[in-house]
Amino acid sequence: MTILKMLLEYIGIDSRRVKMVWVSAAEGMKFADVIKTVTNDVRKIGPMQHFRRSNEWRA
Amino acid sequence: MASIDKLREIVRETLEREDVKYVIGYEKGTYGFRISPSFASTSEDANKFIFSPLCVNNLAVYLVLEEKRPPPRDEKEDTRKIGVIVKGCDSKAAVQIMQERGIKRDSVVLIGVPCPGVIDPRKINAKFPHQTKNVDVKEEEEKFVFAIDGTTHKIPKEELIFDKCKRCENPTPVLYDVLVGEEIRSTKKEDYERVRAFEEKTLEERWKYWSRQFERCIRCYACRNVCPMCYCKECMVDNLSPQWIRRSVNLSENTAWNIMRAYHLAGRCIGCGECERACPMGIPLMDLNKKIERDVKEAFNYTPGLDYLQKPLLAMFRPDDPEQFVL
Repeated sequence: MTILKMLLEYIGIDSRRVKMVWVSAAEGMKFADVIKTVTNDVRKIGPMQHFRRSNEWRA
Repeated sequence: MASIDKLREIVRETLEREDVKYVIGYEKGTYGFRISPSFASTSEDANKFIFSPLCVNNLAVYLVLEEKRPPPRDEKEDTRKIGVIVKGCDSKAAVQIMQERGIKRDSVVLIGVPCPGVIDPRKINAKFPHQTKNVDVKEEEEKFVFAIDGTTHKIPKEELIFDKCKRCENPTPVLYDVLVGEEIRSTKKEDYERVRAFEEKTLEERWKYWSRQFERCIRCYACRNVCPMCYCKECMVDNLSPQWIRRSVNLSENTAWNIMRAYHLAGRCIGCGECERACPMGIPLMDLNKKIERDVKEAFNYTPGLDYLQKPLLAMFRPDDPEQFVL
């Protein structure tokens, strides 16, 4: 995972978009908190502009 | 470099051993500056072997490409050894495969050839394009000497050798059964200059650079086919359930392919540069692999391809491994 984050930064993808957490769905409160944190963090960075599917038909 | 006669003699001796099936080496190529890999089972075949500054191929890839067909009913499998001629970088590939138990140490006979550097085909073809007749290149101190159409050219080595050779730390094979010629000591050091220069760029600049490169990828998988470390029986891109990477050739899938291949080579790539040489689109794949090589060295203090008795990086764990990625 350490290597993956460094590799993504090198390519130019913000590595804060990729997170790793140990939590089970049985740990209700923690699970909900983790999801809220991750969603907010990534929302702050903004949508990824890297690959956009263009709706073009090639001739 | 070692004399060709000595090389051929050693290959013939190896072939005479009862426990050797065949020996893999280099022979004259089809045209121009090309060199072909050669498979010798008899002394006659061994006399075709050469070794020159043009011998760029990493022959260790053939160790994992051997097709093992089930033998006919009354025959037993031929478990004799395979001999292979290895330069410094090639021997690291063989060692790394042994580390991962891809092949056994006693199934290979490594004929080591100390290598002072080989010529980058792109560079020499840019200087002397469209050569149809075979050109023989010889070393003379710090220059390469060869004749084209009667004119002799003497070019300084620095202009023609691979960038990887300029930073080679292991010109003498790290593991061998027999060495052809004298050991070469290296004073060069890998300083990851390109990696550090690239890290000066901003995130947007980096993506701009890489997206331009990945757009050109045609997914020919030459990089995978020539890589000695890529020997999965079923590659992740061929897997359809689950399909990790779509087979469409567009920026999104190409990025996924290149990132994932680099990631699968983390701690395993020995930096032979064959992927970059084989790429028909000239994508700088070594930039990615060198970046990971440096990160692995700094984070885990591990260098691949040096000791075949060591445990592979991702098969061992130390309690003080870096862990800041966990929330």
